[in-house]
Amino acid sequence: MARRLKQTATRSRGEREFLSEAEEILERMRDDLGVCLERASSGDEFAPDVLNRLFRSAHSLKGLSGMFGLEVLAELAHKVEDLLDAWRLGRSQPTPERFALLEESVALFGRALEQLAAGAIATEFAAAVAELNGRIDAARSAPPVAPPAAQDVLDAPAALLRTLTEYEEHRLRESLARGRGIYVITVAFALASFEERLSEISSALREVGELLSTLPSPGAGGPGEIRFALLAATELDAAALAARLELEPSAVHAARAPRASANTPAAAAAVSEPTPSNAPPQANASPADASVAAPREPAPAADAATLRSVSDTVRVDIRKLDELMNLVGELAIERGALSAFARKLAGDPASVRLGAELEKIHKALDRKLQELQASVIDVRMVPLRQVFDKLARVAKRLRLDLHKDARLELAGADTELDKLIVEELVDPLMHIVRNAFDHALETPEERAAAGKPSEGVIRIEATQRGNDVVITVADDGRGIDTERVRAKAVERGLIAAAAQLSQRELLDLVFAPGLSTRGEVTETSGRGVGMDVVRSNVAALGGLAAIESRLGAGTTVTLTLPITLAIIQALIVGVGAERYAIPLNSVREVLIADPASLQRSGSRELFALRGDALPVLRLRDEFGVTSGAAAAKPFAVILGLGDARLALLVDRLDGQRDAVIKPMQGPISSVRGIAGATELGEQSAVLVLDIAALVTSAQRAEAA
Amino acid sequence: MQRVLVVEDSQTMREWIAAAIEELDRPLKLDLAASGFEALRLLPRQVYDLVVTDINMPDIHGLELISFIRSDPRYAATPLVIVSTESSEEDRRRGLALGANAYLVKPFSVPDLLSVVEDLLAGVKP
Repeated sequence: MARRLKQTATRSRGEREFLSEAEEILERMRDDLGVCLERASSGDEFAPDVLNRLFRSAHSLKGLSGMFGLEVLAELAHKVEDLLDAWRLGRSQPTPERFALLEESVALFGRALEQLAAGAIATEFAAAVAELNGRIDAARSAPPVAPPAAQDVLDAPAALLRTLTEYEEHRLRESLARGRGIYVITVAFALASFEERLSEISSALREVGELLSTLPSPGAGGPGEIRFALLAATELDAAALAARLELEPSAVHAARAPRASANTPAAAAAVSEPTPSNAPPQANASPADASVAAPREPAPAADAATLRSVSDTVRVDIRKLDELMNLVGELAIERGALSAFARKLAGDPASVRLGAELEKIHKALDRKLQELQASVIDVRMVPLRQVFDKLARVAKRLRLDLHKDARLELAGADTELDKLIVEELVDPLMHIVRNAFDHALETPEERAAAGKPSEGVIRIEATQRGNDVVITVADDGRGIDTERVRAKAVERGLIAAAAQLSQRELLDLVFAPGLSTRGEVTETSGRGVGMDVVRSNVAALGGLAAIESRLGAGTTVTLTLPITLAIIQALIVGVGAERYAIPLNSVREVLIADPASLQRSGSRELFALRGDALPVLRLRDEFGVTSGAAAAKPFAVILGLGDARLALLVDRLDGQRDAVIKPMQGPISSVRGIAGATELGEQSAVLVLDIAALVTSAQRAEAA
Repeated sequence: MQRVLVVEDSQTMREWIAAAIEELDRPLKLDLAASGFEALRLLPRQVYDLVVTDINMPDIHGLELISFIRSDPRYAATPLVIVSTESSEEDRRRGLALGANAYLVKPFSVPDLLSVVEDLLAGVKP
C-alpha cells in the first residue's frame, strides 16, 4: 500500500481507532462465544444469528487488519472467519476441539492488540499465528457438495430471492428441510420511524422462528414512506403468524406452508393461538393469497397440529412456581388443622370412631400432599452446571488477563438447587473465584520458587448433604497470612490490639466489612465488594460462608446452602408465652440441658456436648422474652450450619410442622435473627428464626 | 457539486474511505452512513452521484441496499461500488448481478479506491 493516509497525524489517530474498534469486536466475540458455550452445555444447538454475528465480527477484523497492513492478524482473522463461515453455512459442525481453537484465536488476537497498543507486535507472534492457523486448517473438514437451490419450490418475489446472501440462502434451505413455513411479510412504514416498527416485528419473529431477509423498497406513498418485504421461517401458519405480529392477514403471504410433520409427536401441548377451525373467517385475505397458498395447505387433520411446539419442555415464570409452592405450603398448614381436629374428636368418647376415621383420611391426604410438595420442589430444581459454566468462562478470561497459569477443576455440576438460589449464587461464587485468581494464586515464578507446580489449581466442588448443598472453592495458592489480617483488623479498628484470637477467628475476620487483605484494589476483584458481601449474600439465602486457609498451602471457602427456600420442615419451640419456628434442616439434635452441662467461661456460656464446648444462646435473652418463668431444665436445640454449631436454649418443644416462610415487612423485617414468619394453621403465626444469623452472631460473640 | 454516500458499519473503515475520497481533486459532498438503515433514511432525501457500500453489515446488508437503490427510478443509473473482502466472493457476484458497477476487495489501497471512484464520478463505466 503506497499511500495509506494523508498525514501522519491522521494515521496515528486511525491506528487508535483501529485498536478501539478491534477491541470492541473482540469483546463482542467473547460474549458471543460465551453464549454459544452456554447453549452447548444445555444441549441446544448454536443459535444461527449468534454464529452469523461471530462470522461478521471475524470478517470485520480481517478487513480492518488488512487495511492497516497487519497481515499476520488479517491472516488469523481470515482463518477464524473461514471456520465460522463453514459452520454458519452448515458445511461443517462445531466440535469442542474446533470451538477451543476459536477461543484460542480470539485470545491470541487480544494479546496482539495489547502488544500493538504498547508499541508493536512481537516478531515471534507470527510463528504463534502460523502454528494456530495450521491447526485450524487441520481441523477443518472438506466442504460437502452444496444441496440444490431451494428457491424453485418457493412462491416468493424474485427480487427478494435474488438479494439473498449465500448465508441467507443456507438458512432458507435449512428452514425448508425442517418443514417450517416460509412467509413473505409486506409492511410499509414512515421513513422517520421505520426502525422501531421493524425491530418490533423482527424480535417478535425471532420468538416464533427466524427472520431470513429484510428487503427494503421505495414506498408507494412517496419519499416519506418505505416498504419492506421480510422473508421469515416459522412453524406457525399464516393466520397465526399475522396475529402474532399484529398485522393484517393480507400482509403475510405463504411462500410455502409449514409441513405438519415438522412437529414431534412428543409435544402434545397445543398452543392457544387460534387454529383455522375456530378463527374468524378471513374476509380480507386477498384472492391471490388464497389461490397460491391453497394447493400447499396442510391436510385438515393436520391443521390443529401445526401450532404445536417442537420441544417437550415448557418455560414457566418462576413467580408462578412460587405461587404454587405457597399454595402447597398453605395446604400443608390446613392439613395440620385437620389433624388437630381429628385428634380432638378421637379424644372424646362420643366421637372416638369418627375421630379415628378422620385420622385415617388425614394420613392418606398427608401422603399425597408430601408427594405434591416433593414434585413442586423438584420442578424448581436446576443443576449448578449453568453457574459452573459461567465460572469456567470467567476463569479462562482471568487466566489470560492476569497471566497466571491456573486450571479450574469443577465437580458436582449436576448437584441441584432451587433455581432462585442458583441465580443468587452467581455473584458470590464469581467473587470468590476472582479473589482466588487475583490474590490467592501466585505468579508462575513465585510458585516455582515455593517448589509448587507452576500451574495453580482452583477446585470447585458441590455436594449434597441431607437438606443442604455444600459448595467448596479451594485453591493451592499462597494462603492467608493471619498475622496480616490481624494487623489490618487492628488498623481498621475491627478488633482490639490485645485481642486474643484463635487462627480460626482471625480467618473469619476476612468476612468482616471493611477488611481487605490487600492494600490495593485490583481491576479483577472489583472495588468495594468484599468477602463481607459474599457472606451477607449467602446469609440472605439462609446459608453460611466459612473459610479455611493454611499459609503457603492454599485457601478453601465453603458455602453451605439450603436446597430450597420456599418450604421447610420446622421445629416449633416455646419460650414463655412465645413460640418460634426453627428450620429443621439446621437442627442437629435436641437434648435436655442438664445444669451441669452448662459452664461459664468469662462472659460466655458454653454447653458441653460429648467433649465439645458449644456456644450457648438463650432464646429468652436474645429476644427479651419476659413472660413465664424460665424452665429449670431447658431444652438445648443443637443447631448446625456448615461446621459451625450452636446450642439454643428454649423452654418447650411444640412439635414439628410444615412451614412456608413469608418475608416480613415493615420495621420488623430488619430484626436480626428473624428470617420471616409462618402460619401454623390454628390462626396463629410465629416468627421463623434465621439460623445463619444466629450462628454467625454467636461465633462473633465468641471471637470478640 | 457531486454527492457521495459511503455505507460501512466499521467506523475505522468508514473514516478511512472518507479520508481517501476527500483527497480527490473534485468538489464533493460526502455523507457517511454507519448502517444500512441509516442509508435508507438518507437515500430518499437527495440524489447521490455515487454510493460506496460494504456487504457484511447488521440490520440490512449490502445486497439488500443495492436492490433498494436500483428499485428507485432516480437511482437507475447511479454508480454503485461494493467494498468487501475476498471471502464473500459469491455475495459480491450477486451484488454485481443486482446492478453494482464495481467492487473493491479489502484490503485495497487509496489509489485503487480513488481510480475507481474518479472514473465513476467522471461518467466512465468500468
